[in-house]
Amino acid sequence: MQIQWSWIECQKGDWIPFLVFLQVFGASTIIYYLCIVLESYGICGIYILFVASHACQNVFWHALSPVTKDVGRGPEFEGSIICLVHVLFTWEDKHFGIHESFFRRSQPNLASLAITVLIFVLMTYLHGVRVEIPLRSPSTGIHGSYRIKLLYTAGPSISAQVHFPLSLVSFPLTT
Amino acid sequence: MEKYFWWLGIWEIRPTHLRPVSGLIYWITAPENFRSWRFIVYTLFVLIFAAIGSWVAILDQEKLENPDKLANDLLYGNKVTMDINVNGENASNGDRHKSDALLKEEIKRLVPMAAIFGGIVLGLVCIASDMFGVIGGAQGMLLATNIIYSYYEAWEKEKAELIVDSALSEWR
Repeated sequence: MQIQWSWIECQKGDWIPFLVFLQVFGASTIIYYLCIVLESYGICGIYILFVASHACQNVFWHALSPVTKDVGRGPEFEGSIICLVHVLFTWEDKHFGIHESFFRRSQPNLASLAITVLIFVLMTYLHGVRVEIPLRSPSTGIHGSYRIKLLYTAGPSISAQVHFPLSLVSFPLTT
Repeated sequence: MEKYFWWLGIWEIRPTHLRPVSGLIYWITAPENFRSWRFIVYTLFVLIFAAIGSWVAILDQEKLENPDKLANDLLYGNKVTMDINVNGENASNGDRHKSDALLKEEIKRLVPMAAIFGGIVLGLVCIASDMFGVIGGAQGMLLATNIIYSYYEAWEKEKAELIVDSALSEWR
């Protein structure tokens, strides 16, 4: 494809930066307007909601993706749970099939899904670990407690870890 | 580029992903096996980084120094001046300063400990999830859990706020 304008000549690959720009621009516009909609309902912290939903979508896609891919032994499903069901019904060697769906290296496997669920449960438990200092107001009779969480500073610590090493890791993927 | 930035890292192209083979990034990303110098360096890096991150986060001392503000936070913005009792001890109005000092001491003792220890626990979870290959990367997963839990906490706080409001209206 070659498009001739009066002052500029475009090759095939020259459109890609423009498409990327359009994609990023469109996506951020959509997110901006979604933020306004959600703000009107009084939901706090909207950008982080999108980060969380992206991670959840990642997990769901790894579990239930219907895309097939061939790595040398016939088409296999990308989603690990769908792959397990497919393997159980079609492969002759069931034992090897189950082993493959748990530990295959080429595509998402069930073992990493199980570890993900485990880590999620563990982190939820750790967020609940806290020391409570009881407080009481004699004048009103209201009593409550001030909670000192174990993961009091989890947010800044995680974001520091995300932004420093992860940005270095993703450096070769973006260029 | 390669002439100046070789120390950042050199990657090797694999069919499914890119794998670092040398440089700084080689030492601070998760290795494949446990028995290597790389694993030790990576563990130390993550633990120290997590502890430093937690330490930086509690440098904002305003909340620790000021129990009155803390009490206001507890009552969710209702402008009530509180007499604070720590550990259920009865403090009359005269003992208010004493109970304030007690609370301050307790907080000053507990919060830095919780922060440092929490950072190290977080680092350990991070290392475990990286080594076992959690979907979306260790940090991404931890971030998502953190965000979801903060939403749950906000919901809980909203519920408590309603209870406090009703109690206040009864008292009046």
